[in-house]
Amino acid sequence: MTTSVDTRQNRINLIGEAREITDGVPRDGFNDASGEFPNQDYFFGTSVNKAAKGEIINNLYSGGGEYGIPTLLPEQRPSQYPFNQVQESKSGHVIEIDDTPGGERVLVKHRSGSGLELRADGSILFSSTNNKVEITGGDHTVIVEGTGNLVYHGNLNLHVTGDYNVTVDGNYNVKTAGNHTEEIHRSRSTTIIENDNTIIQGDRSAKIIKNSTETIFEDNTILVKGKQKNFVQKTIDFNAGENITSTAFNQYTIAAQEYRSTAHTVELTGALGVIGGEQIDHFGKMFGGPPGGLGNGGTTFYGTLVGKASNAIVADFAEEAGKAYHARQAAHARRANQAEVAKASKNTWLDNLSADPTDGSLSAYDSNASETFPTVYSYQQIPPTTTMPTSDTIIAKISSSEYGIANVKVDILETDPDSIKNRILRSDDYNDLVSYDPTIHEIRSKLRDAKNREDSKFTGTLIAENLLNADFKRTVPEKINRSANKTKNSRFGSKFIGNNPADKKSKRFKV
Amino acid sequence: MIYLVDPLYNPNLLKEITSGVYLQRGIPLAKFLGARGTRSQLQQISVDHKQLVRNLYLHAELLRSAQRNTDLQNVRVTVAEGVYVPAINESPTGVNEKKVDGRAVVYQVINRKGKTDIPKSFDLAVYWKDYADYDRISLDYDTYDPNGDLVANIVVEMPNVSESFDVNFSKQIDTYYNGALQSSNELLEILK
Repeated sequence: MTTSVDTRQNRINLIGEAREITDGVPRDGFNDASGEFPNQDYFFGTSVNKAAKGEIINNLYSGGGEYGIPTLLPEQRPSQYPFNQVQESKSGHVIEIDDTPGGERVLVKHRSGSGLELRADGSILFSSTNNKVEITGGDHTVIVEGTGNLVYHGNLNLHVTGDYNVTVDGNYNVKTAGNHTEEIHRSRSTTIIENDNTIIQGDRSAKIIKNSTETIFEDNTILVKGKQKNFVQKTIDFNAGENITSTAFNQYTIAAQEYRSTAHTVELTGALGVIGGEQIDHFGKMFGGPPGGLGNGGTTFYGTLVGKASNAIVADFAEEAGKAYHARQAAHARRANQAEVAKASKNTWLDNLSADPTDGSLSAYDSNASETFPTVYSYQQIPPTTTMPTSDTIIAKISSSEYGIANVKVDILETDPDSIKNRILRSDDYNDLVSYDPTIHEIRSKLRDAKNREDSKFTGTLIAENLLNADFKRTVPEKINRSANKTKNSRFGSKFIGNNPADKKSKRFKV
Repeated sequence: MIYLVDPLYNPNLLKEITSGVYLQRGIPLAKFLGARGTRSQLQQISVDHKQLVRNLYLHAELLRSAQRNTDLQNVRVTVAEGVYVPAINESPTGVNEKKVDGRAVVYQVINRKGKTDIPKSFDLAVYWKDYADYDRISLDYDTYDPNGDLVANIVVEMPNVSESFDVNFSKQIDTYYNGALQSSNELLEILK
């Protein structure tokens, strides 16, 4: 279009001579000298704005809602003439002040569709087709009586140079599909009035440079299905106000340079094994074992015995063997009152004890007074104060008594091993496709794969959890409306082609 | 054909790829990563990120064309399923395989009630069929929602985009209902 400032030659150069002759600047003075108006939409008709007459409704760009988040605003009714005052610029900016009964509104619209609209019901629509910048020099207060929804399809960065205070009178729910990272440069304090439940499907790791203290005023239970390892470079103090029970199903090993075990009452039993060492001293009231003698499974003592034996087959000194059945090879056989056999001693005071052991031994003592013998303690029969532990009693104690081995099983049921774990992970229920209860959108995405659609365990669990319609395999729709093949469809034009409005929307065209 | 790329959003010129990079005006990469059906993060995606962004660039142009369409003023075209990260032992096939590297994207047309708009979904699919470049457009309806609601999805597949942007579009169309093919070479508007 030419303008009033163009010279005739300029216009000819710009739009061509033929058009200059037909459309050029009118000379009769009844038309717009600039040639800009009337707008093409207003050819052959009144120049009263169509919005003022209600023929069109100027709307801002708003689009639809977000899935599950409606943006319902009441439809704007067409304006009635002459209630709507409309100002429209050449490029399409519009300002409307509409007093149409029931449709009162104020509209400021940019040609792009951005703008501000105050609707008849009092709603305000603020729309931007591109960026929006809001700057507040002072304070900013927002009070919303109803519900708020914020959707960012891109990133959201929030920078607060002062304190960031959030008070939630209801629940505070955060759902993150990706990672959740917190960086705290000073301390963190958390107070939980009731319970704290944490489920970690992967690993957990904590690194503490200084000390860690955990104070529990009631019970503390740790269940470990796998191994537990504790490594401490320095000291461990392990104290209990009452009892400590420590069992192992297979092997229990304690090793140290020094090992001390002290108790008022001690019981240390075993079916077989070794106790003692080269430099170990044993003290006790009684040492016992099974009868039978050497080579027959009985108790055998090696080394020097100071004291008194009820039975002595080989002894350096057999000072007094009151009721010994055998005292064959004592180095010194001083007296064997009731020995059945007491021969072949190193110093034999009686050559033939077997003839009369009692008398013989007495006479031998008397005839060899020069020999020095250890102190002979008076014989006293001390009966055992407790029953000798046997293999049977030990096995019974290990397996059944309160001091026995605990058979530890964590999360094992015959019918469903790892049942608790799988209940948490859900991966088994969903055949490893997801490890949590998916949303309908995630389910839809998974079911695009034919393999997943045919996975009856996956779909069966979803249906059981009421996450998927049981009728999801119905393949016949109830009603079909329109159809379009590969041929390009002709469309009704929304913009005029040419200057003849009579033909405008009756023309179909393809682009 | 050599696809002409908007130099403002040319993926080949990106020095760093983050979720905040724009593929078109108002269309960041995050729109394809954070889709409701395939929430994913760049760190999880094993595909070359530049290749991913090149493939998604075609989708961004497609989405932009829908946003500019005045017939769709009262609805919002959203990315329902973007970049797909399979489960550890999952080997995706079909559309899901193409979602892994950004070749396939699933769109939904949401009305002001916050639900998928069936007629407008059909309109958009037809509009793209007529005026856009693509490998395949599938109008995919389903009643997976436990309440039985009919949901319309538009699955768009694009070719793999090389660094030279030399691409060919095979332009196939079809319609599915609950995963079952209803028509090839034809788009249908299914009402229930």
